[in-house]
Amino acid sequence: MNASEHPAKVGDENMLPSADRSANAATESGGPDSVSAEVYAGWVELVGRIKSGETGSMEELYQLFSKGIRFYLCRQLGPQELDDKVHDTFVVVVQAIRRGELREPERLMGFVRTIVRRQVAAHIDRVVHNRREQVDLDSTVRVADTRENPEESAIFRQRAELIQRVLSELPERDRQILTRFYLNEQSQDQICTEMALTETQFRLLKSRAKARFGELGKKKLAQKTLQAVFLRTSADLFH
Amino acid sequence: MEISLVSRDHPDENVLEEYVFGRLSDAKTEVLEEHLLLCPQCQAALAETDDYIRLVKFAASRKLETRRRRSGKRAAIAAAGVLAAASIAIFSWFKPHAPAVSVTLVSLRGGTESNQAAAGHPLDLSIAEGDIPPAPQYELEMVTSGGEAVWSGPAKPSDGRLSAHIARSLHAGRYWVRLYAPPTGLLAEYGLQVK
Repeated sequence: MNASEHPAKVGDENMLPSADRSANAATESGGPDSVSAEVYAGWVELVGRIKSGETGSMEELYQLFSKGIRFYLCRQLGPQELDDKVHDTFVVVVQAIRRGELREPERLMGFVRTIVRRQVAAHIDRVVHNRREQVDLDSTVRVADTRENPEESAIFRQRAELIQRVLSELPERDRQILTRFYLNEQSQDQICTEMALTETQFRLLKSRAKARFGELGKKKLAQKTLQAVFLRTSADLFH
Repeated sequence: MEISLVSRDHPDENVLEEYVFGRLSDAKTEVLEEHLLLCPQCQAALAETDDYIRLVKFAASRKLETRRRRSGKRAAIAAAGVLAAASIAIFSWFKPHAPAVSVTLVSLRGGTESNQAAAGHPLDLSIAEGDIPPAPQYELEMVTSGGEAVWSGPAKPSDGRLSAHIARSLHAGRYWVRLYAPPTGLLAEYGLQVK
């Protein structure tokens, strides 16, 4: 197998493994370096068993990918009819493997990714097409309600207030940097060049703002817990 | 020994942010997405990153709007004295338009909070070019939730963004903004809640 066909490590010079997660990984697997060959061997063997129609292999494949497929589909298309979409994708993957369309079993992950992406593209095409077609037939056509429920909306607003607080605590220049990066989606290079920052200064600012947000969130949670305890205690006293 | 089926090299949060903004190269996106298919830790980390970016976008855009409104108020107060008499005399027949509202369209799924605009105002739409394939020209089309076209026009690139001004005021409701690159066709579709 060509080296470039390996599911390359996500961590290259720009993709450094984060310390804590890598630590977990190393503990679980005996070190990241020892994994790849085992991974390929596992997939080749699994694909072979699916091709031969072994029942347990389907379940194994489902266990392996269903969470990832669900996550990808939900992120791209939202939570509506998610179970059906996951199931459809899984069926397409299995049928394609059985038809022998996966010629390099060690590329199983890439194969699944391609199918999931196709499913997403097809779904978006269908939605756009349906919306156009249905307008001609029924002017009162209903679209899926993609709004968050009231509880989620309230949580989102509370958290947005915390972020606003973090932003307002920052000096104007720092706030401008974060606004450029997150709201205007300017790249790190562009911001660093235009605002005369080093990469380290930029990363520090971002992580400090995130840490402060986490800190405020925890405080708020602690206050709520205290309030709840106080209210419960007061209620008990009056009974 | 049991065979492991999961690769265990994880991306850091900067990589996840670049992914969310659509700025990773195709090769890196491929590697990352393949990893994400199998790694619950990174799925959770990406969900957290999505959430954080969405929150900061929302908070930062509100902050900008508030500041714009404040500076608009200050300017208006300063100018009011000078202009009031002249305005009344000259433009008494003229129906003033509401100021345009800036909306940065975000393609994040799973929530519509980011794409919101006030009803009854013209809109200045903008889209970050990060995740848009290069094309000689772009067209935007806005349709109601029922699919009725309410506006269409060119989107002009500048400073890494595509922008378009919609002069007409919109009623409250759900709209869809579609980005086209002729002759390629539809590139993206964004939800927009006008309240």
